[in-house]
Amino acid sequence: MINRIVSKISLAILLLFSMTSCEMGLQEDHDYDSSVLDPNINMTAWEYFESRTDLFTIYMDAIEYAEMKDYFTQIDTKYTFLALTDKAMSSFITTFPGVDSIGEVDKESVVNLIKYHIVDGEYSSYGQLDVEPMFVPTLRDGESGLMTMLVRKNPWQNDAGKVVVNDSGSNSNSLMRSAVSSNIKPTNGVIHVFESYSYYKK
Amino acid sequence: MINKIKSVLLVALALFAFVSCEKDGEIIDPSSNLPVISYPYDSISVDLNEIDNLPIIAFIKSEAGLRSVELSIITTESDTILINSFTDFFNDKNYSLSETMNYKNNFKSALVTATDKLNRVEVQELPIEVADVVLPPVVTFDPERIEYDDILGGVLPKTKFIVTSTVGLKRVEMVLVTADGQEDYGFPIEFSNNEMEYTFDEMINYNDDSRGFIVKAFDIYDQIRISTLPVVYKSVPPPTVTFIDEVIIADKGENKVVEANITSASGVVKVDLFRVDGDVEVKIATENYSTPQKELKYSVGVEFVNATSGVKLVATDNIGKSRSESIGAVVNINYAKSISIGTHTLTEGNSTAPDIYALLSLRDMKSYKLSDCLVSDAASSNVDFKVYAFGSSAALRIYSIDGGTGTKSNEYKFGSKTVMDMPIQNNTKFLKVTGRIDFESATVATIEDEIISSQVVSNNINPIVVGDVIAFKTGAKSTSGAFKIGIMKLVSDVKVEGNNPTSRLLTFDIKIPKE
Repeated sequence: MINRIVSKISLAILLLFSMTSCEMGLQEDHDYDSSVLDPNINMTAWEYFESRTDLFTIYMDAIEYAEMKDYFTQIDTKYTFLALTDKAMSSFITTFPGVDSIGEVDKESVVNLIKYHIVDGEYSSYGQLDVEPMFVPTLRDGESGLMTMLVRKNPWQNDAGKVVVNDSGSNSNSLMRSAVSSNIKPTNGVIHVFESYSYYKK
Repeated sequence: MINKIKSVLLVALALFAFVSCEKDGEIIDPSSNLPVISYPYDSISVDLNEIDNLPIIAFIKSEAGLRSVELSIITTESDTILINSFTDFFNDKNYSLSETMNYKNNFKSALVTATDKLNRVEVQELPIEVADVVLPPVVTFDPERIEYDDILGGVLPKTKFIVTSTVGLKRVEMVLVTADGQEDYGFPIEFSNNEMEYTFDEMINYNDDSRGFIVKAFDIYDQIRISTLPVVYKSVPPPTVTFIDEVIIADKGENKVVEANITSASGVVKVDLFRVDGDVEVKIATENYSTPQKELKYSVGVEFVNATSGVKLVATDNIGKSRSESIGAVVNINYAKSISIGTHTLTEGNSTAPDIYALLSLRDMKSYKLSDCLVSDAASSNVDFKVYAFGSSAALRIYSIDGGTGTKSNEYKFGSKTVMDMPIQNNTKFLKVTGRIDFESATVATIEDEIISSQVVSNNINPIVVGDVIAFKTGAKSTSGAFKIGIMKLVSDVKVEGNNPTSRLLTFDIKIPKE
């Protein structure tokens, strides 16, 4: 009998103790360590475009039509690829009356378009682009190849964070374009995605 | 041992020197590549006529990082001008230089000098091709001024000019300047192939109002040259012709002298005289003068016929300017101008209209008072019609003498007597021919051809207004002759007495062919 009482009391004490042991201590102070998602995609620009055929089908057709695929597949030189979505490419095609597909556009125009949208060197928002417009070396030669780039970092601007090409007034009368997606880092440079194509206008 | 210590110190010193190149943990590799300078174009073309020339742009890459970048200009005189120097770089590994320039015509090349953090210097030159400021187009007129004098005569020169440009023409506009202002001459001439020259050679028929011819020439830089060709066109007026008579009145077949004074600044050399017979002009005489006549008293006899409505005289001066003037002719017609007659309120006259009464005699071409017409058959048969004004609006009417109250005869009173008491009351008939017959040019032939006697049957015309032409046929007992047909035109209507609107003074011109 005494053993039973002792056993029950012991069991109750044990349960009470076990519940008490569930108490958690107060969280201690801890410093916040900022970090960004890794922009590296571990593939070439061309492989990236192939992974997004929902966006770049016409663009890839244009690159192959212009015989410039090597720029996108090589890994020896870093380029900044201003990738044009199908929407941008369709808009480009409509500037040629009576033309329905990129393959019907004269080849020189397509080559000039692709060359204008490849910049020699890496120009990402990670310390390479300034908030002030800077001229960048596109693969298109001469005055027609002039282009400026910058990144918006003023939080009060509605396009803060965006990579901008030909900011208004920075490159004669060229029209400003803002990237819809930017700083994608393939193994051969950096990609900024645009839904409108750019061109130099004196 | 000492050497070992020295070696260790030397290694330590070298290590220290190497470490001194570090910045924030960065180590500069002395084997890094030299700075690389590139330009977006092989050369830069500058046009000093343009305001939007390109800046000088250069891309400088440096593996070691840039210490400084300088931009200089080398002139055609081989001078080097430092334009700018940069030592603060957002990205010292990859710098984009952009310098807006105030270009000069002696700039030969741009020189970018890049120095990296290992003090290694790289220089790259960019040729500059400068198109110097050009002058606007030049307009050269030949001749430089156009003067034409009518008196001197000769051929008006063609308008010729040449526009030249050293860079190419864009547009040429021409404007004719007149006394009233300016008006475009033709359409602007557009050039699309940078034409350097344009020649204009056309006959422009300037006149008295012409003052000049303006040429506006634009080159491809929109530089404009405005040049004016002065035009002085001196003209003399054509001759003046003034007939001595206002109208020529003649009998059928009568040879009557037509007289006129002719003046001309340059002198009359020829005068042509025409007789106008209805729609036909018959040349009567041509006088030529070997010596130009500045003042001429012209006088030539003309035989007039029933169809003659006037004469025309054409005077021509020695530079070919001519003046044509005509006057009317009344041939074989009793033509009475400005014959006045009063309405019924003037039956016995009115002090404000002396000697004007309500009954008109076509024989005497004058009006009579009723009291004079009541006395005898001869007196009453001498008047042919009366005029009347109705109501406050004074609507004018013509009435025959007969007709009783239907022609308001009872309202033309003398005492207890009225027109109805006249022993003879002429039954003159009327027909309105306004628009059918031009009174002024109507001839005997016109009246005979246009007015059919059987159609002139009404004893009144109601209403008549100033300008109306009325044909009439006299009564059987008219002293002017039985059943004579004539025309008359109402030329004026004047109110003559106080507040009575029906008291009117009417004036007619009347034509009655002679026998």
